[in-house]
Amino acid sequence: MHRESTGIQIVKGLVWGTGLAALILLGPLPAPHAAPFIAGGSAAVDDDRPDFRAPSALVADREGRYLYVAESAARRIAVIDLKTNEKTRSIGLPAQPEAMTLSADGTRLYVTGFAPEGTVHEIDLKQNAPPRTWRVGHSPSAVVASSDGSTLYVCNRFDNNLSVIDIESGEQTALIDVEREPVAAALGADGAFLFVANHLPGGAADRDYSAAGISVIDTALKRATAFIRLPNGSTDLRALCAAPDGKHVYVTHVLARYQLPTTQLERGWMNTNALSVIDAQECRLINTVLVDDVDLGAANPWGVACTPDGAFLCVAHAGTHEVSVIDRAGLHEKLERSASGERVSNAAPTADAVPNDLSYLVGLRRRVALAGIGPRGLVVVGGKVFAAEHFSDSVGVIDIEAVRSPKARSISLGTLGPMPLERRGESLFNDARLCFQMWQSCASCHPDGRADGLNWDLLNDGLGNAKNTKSLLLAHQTPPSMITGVRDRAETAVRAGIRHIQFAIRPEEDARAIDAYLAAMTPVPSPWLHEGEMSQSAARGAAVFQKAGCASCHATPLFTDLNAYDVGLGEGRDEGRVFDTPTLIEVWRTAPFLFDGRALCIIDVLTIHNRRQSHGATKELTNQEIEDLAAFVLSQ
Amino acid sequence: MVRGHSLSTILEIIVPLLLLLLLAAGSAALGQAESDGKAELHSLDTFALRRAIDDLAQCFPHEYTSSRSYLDRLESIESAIAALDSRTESDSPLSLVRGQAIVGRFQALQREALIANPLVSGRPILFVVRHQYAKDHHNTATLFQTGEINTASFKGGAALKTIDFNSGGTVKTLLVLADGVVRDPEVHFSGGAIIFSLRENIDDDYHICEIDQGGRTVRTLTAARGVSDIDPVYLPDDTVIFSSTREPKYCMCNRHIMANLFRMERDGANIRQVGKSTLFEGHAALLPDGRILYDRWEYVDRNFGDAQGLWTMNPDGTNHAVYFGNNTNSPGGVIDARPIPGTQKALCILGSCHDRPWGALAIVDRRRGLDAATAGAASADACLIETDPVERTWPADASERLGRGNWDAFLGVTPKYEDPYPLSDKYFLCSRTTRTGDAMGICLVDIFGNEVMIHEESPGCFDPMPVGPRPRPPAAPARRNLALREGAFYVVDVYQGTHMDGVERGAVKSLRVIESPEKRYWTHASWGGQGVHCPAMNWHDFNNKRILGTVPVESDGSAYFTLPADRFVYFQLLDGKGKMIQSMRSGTIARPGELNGCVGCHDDRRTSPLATTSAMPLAARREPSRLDGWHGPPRLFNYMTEVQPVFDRACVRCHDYGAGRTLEAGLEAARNLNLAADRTLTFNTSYNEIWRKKLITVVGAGPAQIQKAYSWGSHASRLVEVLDEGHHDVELSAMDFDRIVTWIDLNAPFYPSYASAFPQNLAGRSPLDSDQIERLSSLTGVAFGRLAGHAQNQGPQISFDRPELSPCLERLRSGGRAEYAPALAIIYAGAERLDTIPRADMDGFEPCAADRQRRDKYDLRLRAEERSRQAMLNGKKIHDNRSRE
Repeated sequence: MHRESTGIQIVKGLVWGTGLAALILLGPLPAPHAAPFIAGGSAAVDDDRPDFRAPSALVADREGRYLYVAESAARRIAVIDLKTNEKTRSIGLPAQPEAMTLSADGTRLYVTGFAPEGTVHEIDLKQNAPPRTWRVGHSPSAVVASSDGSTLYVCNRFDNNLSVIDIESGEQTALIDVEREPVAAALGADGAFLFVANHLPGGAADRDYSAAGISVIDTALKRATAFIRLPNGSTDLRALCAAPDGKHVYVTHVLARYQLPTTQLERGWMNTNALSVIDAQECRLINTVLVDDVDLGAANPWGVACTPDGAFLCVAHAGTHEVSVIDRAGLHEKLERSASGERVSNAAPTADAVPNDLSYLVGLRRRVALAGIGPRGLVVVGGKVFAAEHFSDSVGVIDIEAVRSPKARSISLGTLGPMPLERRGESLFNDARLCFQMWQSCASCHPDGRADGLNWDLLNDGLGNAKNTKSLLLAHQTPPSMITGVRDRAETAVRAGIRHIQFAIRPEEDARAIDAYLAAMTPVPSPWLHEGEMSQSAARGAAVFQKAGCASCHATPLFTDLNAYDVGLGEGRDEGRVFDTPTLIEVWRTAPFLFDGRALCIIDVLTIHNRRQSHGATKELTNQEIEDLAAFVLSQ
Repeated sequence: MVRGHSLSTILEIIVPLLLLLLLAAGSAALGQAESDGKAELHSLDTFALRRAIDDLAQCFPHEYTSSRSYLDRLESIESAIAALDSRTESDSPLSLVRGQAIVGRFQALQREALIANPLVSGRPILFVVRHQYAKDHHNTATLFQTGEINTASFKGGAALKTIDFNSGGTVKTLLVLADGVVRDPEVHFSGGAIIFSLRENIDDDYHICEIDQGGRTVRTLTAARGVSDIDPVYLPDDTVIFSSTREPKYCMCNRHIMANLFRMERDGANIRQVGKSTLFEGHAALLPDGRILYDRWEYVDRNFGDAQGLWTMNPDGTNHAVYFGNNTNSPGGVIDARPIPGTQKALCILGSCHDRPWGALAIVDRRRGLDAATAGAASADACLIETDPVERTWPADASERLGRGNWDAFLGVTPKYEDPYPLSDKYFLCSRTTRTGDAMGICLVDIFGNEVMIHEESPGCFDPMPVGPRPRPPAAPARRNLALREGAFYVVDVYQGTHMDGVERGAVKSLRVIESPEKRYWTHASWGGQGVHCPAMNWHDFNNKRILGTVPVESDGSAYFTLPADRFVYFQLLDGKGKMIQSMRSGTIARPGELNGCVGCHDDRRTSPLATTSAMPLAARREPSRLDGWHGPPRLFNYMTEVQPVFDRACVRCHDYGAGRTLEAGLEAARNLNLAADRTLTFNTSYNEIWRKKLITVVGAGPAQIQKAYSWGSHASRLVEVLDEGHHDVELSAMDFDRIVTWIDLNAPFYPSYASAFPQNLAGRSPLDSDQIERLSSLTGVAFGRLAGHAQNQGPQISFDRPELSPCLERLRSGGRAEYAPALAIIYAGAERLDTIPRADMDGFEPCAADRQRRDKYDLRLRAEERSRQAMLNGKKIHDNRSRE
C-alpha cells in the first residue's frame, strides 16, 4: 500500500519509481516557521515556552571554544563558553531543536526542528549570513553533514526515511527509505556509507527474531544497500557515532531478553544495555557488548562519542546518569580475540556469547556518575566529555584525563522554576534508579512513553503468553489497562509496574508524578496526514470504518469503547481470552499490531488475521476499501 | 670435676671463656637489634603514607586540613632517613638510636595523619571488647550454645564501647557484661540505634537486642530458649535479618549446632526463616541494591572443608545465588563480607575450615570470576581465570595460598584479620591480631599500603564501625507468598553451562529434583568418611537424600516445574535411560510462591540469559510439571529397601556367601563379589563390597570444583557397564535397572536418616556395644574399632542376618577354635538386638532418646515458625516472649 501524499512523499515515489533525479521537483520548500534569532544571556524566553529546557543534543565548534546545546523544550540553542564553562548566549528557534551538526568548515550550525512538519535550520555562527530554513520530513531526529561540506543527511523519524539536502542550493536531492524511525546517523570512512540507526524493530513480534538494526546508505547511490542485523532483542537504538578514522561505527541500544518470563531482573533477565560495534568498511556487525555490570545495570544507553584521538569511547547512560569511558583499543583487541575463537573468559567462551557477558568490559571501562540527570547527547572536547543532562537542565562535564578519580560537575543552563509534576514524572519514567539494580526504567520498554515493538511475558496473566508492549498514550483516559485489561486503570498499572517490573518499592508521590506525565502525553500527528488533513483515501476510509463495524468497539472520540472482547485470536494459554479494546489514536506508531504483535501492518490486521470476521466485517471489503480503511486508521 | 687440675687453674681457663661467650652473645644481640632496626627503618612506607595524605586532602579538602603539615613532617622524616643512610657510621649504636627515633616519628605521624581521616575521626567508632572465641571445630563454631557439645568453651566478659578520635580517643562504654558476651553490632541507618547479640552468661542464650546510641535503653528483641540469635542486620524497611539456630540442626561432618538466616520485624515480632541451606548461614550484610550478602556453608556430594563461600538472597529469602568462592579449594572459607562503597567489590575474610572466623583480609571483585584462581589450573576443564578476582589481600603474601593446598591453607596466615568494615573504597576498618596471642585490636588499613592499629584494649577489640547516619538501600518488594506451599523454577536451557561440554543437544530428557535434608541428630561415635560422620551415613560423603520427582526437559532444553517450598533441593539432568549426565553439588530453595528462572546448569553467573535464544522456552508455554516422586511418593532413600532387593532378586544367587556347594566354597565365591543383604556392623555386605571394590564411580565427598558431565555416576560406573553389556542371564526390569542407576547417581547413599538407635556404639550404627566389640576383637583378632571408616576397611566381617557366615569367624571355625562359639554368640546377640531395636536402615526404626529430644525440639521450632507465618498472614504480631522487654 502506498501512502497517498504530496511533497516529499511524491518525490519519494519518483525517486524510487522512476529513478529520475529529484532536483527539479525537490526544490527548497518554503520555510514554514520564523527564522532563528540570537539572544544574549539566558533571560530571553518566549512566553509560550515551558519552564524547563530539556537539553538533548550537543555540538562543539572545531576550536573547542564554544559548546552548543539544544534546549529542546525551550526551543533554543544555548551557547557555552568552554573557557569559562558559562552560558553566554542563546539562539532562539521556531521549533524544538532535536539534533545538530556543524558544517565541514565549522562555520555553520545545522539544527533540526522536531515537528510533524520538520525543518532544518542553518545558522551562521559568525552571523555573516542570514539563517536558512528548509522543510524536511516528520520529526527530524538526526542531521549529518558530509565531510566535503556539500550535503546534509536528515533522519525523518516518523516518515521512516532520510532527506538528502544539497547545502549550497538548499534542495532536497533524494529521499531514502529506511527500516523504522531513524534516529541517528553517522558517516563511515571517506563518507562512502552512511549508517542509520533504526529506533525500533521493524518486523512482527511473534517470530524467532525481533530486533532493530542499522540501515547502510551508499551515499553515492543514495539508497540503502545493506541492513545490519543486531542481536535478537535489540531495540531503543538511540545514538550512533563513527570512530575518528571512520573504520568503526558504534551504536547504543537496549538488548532485551524478551523471550523470558519477567520473573526477575538479576543478571539482566529483562533488559540489558548494549553497545554494538560495526565494521564500517565491511558494513557488518563485529559484535555487541553489554555496558551493564554483573550486579548493576547501566540502563538506557544514549549518546556515544569517541575522543578525538580515538583512545576512548564514551557512552551516556540516560537511565543511570552516568558516562562509561571505554578503552577503545582494549575493547577492539578483546573483540578480535573473541572473533578469532579465543576463550577470553568463562563468561564469554565464544564470540557468540559476548552479547551475554556482563563482565566483558571489566578492566576496559570506568563508569562515572554525573552530577545531573538524564544524559542524552554526548560530545567530547579535548579531554572532556560533555553530556546533555536532559532532566536537570544542565550540561555534565567529565575530565577524562582525571578519569581515575573523576569528579563530574554540571554547568547549569539556568533555573527557570520548580520542576512541574508532569516533568518530574517524565524524569522518573526515564530513571533507572527506581529499578532494582538499575537495569531498566519504564522508558526501556516504553520509549517516549510508547512501545518498544517487542512481546513481553508479564506474569499478570500467567506464564508463557507474551503480549506486545502497549503504548501508554491515553492509557489514563482509556481504562482498563494492559492487553487483557487485568489492571482496572492505568494508575494501578503504574504501581504494579514499579513493583513487579522495576521490582521496587517507591513513594506514592513517584507514582503520582508518573501518572501526571503519562496522562499529559499528547498524540503526535500522524505522518499519514498532510498539513493536518486526512488524505482522500483516509477520508473514504472513515466510511469503511463504520461499514465494517470497527466503530462499534473503536468508538470515537477515543476510538475505544473501553470494553474487552474475544476477537478470536487468542491461542494456547490465551485461547478464548478477551482483550481490551485499544485506542487507535497514534496507532500508526505502534506496529506491530494485535495482542502478540503478529501483524506487521494494519492491512494484515484486517485481512489475514481476521479470517473469522471476529474483528470487524472486513471480508467483503474491496482491496481499495481495505486500503482506505487502513489509511483512515493510520491517520488517527 | 676435671680430675688433676687445681681450682685456680680451672678458673683461669673458664672465666675468660665465659667472658668471651658473653661478649659474643652481646655482640650478636646488638647486631640483631641493629639489623632489625635497619630493616624496620627501611620498611617504612613513606610513599604509601604520602599517597594517603594526598588522597585525603583531595577527597576532604574542607575536613582534612592538616595535610600540608603532615607532608612537611613526612618530608622531614624522609630527609632524616636519607641522612642516616648516607652516614659512614650508619651501623653505629648512635645511628641505631637515631633510626629508632625516626621509626617512632614515622609511626606517630602515620597514626595521626590516618586517624585524622574524617571517615575515622568524624564519627565515633563502635567496637566490642571481648575474648577471642575459643578455638573449636570450625569457623562457625562460636556460639557455644547451651546444651550443645561445646557449651563449656563459652567465655564471658565483654563490653560495647565507642571511641571518639575527634576528642582525643575518648572511650565511652555503652554496655558491660561481667559474665556475658556482646557481639555482632550493627548501626541503624539513622545512626541512632545499635542492634547486636547478647548473652548474659553461660546459662543464657544469645538474644538480639537493640540499644539507643546514648546507651540509655536496651531492648531485648528475641528471647527464645535454647537457640542462639546472632549477626543482626537492619534492612531498608526497618525489619531485621539475623542468623539463628532456630532450626536446630548440625553440621554433617561433626556434631555442632548450625544456623540459618531469619527475619523479623524491628520489634522482634514474626520471626520467620528465610534461609534453608543445610548447614550455616552467617555474617549477613546489606548490599547497596537491597539484597543480602552472606556466607554459607553447605555441601551436597562434596567435601566439607572448602564448601563455604559468599551468597546473596533477597530479603524475603528468594533467589539465593552464589556470589563468590563456592568452588574454591583454598581458602576453605570466604566469609564475613561487606560491600565496598562505590564499587562492585566486597571486603571479606579468607579463612580456614578448622579455625576461628578470621584469616586474611581481601578485596574480591566477582566480575572477574566467581572463584579464586586454582593452582595448576591448566587442565582442559579448569576454570579460566582471566584476572584473579581476589584483587588484594592483607597480608599480601596470603594471596600465595589462593587455590593451593586444602581448606586449612590459610591457618598459617599472620597476622589474622576479622570483622572487616569498609569506610569507603579506600579505607577499611577491621579487627586484627596484636602481637600477643589471639588478642585483637582495631586496625585501619587502606589501599595505599598503610596499616595502623588505632586502638587496643584487653582482652580484645572486635567489630569496629562508625556510629552515624549511612545510606539506606532500596527496600525490595516480596517475591513470595506465605499462604502458598509451593514454589516454581524454570530453566531456560539446561545445555547452557560451564560444564556441559560433550553433552549433545537432545541428550537430556528429564530433570530430577532431590532433597538433601538437614542433619537433625548426631552421635558421639563416628564413621570415617570424608571427615567424620556422626553417625555413619554413607561410605564417603555425608548426605541422605529424598527424591521429590522427575520432570521432563523439552527439546529446547527448557524445564518448568513446581516443588515444595523451603526444601533444600538440588537438580540432576538425566538421559533417556534415566542415567545422570550432570548434577548440582550444592543446593537451592524455592520460597512459597516464588517463581525463579535459571539460565542453564552451572551457567556462569556473570552472564545474562542468552540473547540469541529465538523464542520463549517451550516449557514456559505450558503448565508447570509437577513432581511425582520416584517409584512411589517422596521418601528418604534407604539402600536396604530401594536397592538391595534388586540384588536379592537378580544377583545373590551367585554373589552370596552361600553361593557355593559348601560353606567354604560359598565364602570363596563371596570373596569375589558378595551382594548379599546381610547387615554388618555399620552398613550391609553388598554396600561395603560395591564401594570397597570400586564397582561404582561416584564423586563421594568430592573436590570443590564443578565436575565434568558424565564424569561420575551411572555413566562412569563399572557396575552399570556390566549390566549394559549383559551379565550372564541377568535380566533386570526397567524399574530394577532404574533403582540401581538412580542409587549410583545419588552418590550411592546408605542410610535414610541421621538419627541413631545406637549412639554410643561403633559408628553410631552397630548393635554391638563397645564391650562386645572389644570382646569380639579379642576373640577373632579383627580390629573392629579400626574398621569404622572407609580408608582401612577390610570388607564385611559380620553378618547379623546369618551370623555363622560372618567372615570374622572363618578362621576360628576352620581351625576348630574354642573362640568360635563365644564369638558367634556375640554376633547373635547383636542380631537379637537388631530384632528388638531396629537400626535406621530397618523397618520399625526409632531414634534413641537423645535424638528423640532433638526431634522434639526441632518440631517445637517448626511449630513456632508456622505460628509466625500465620501471624503474618493474619496481619498479627507474635513475639518470642514479651516479658523480656
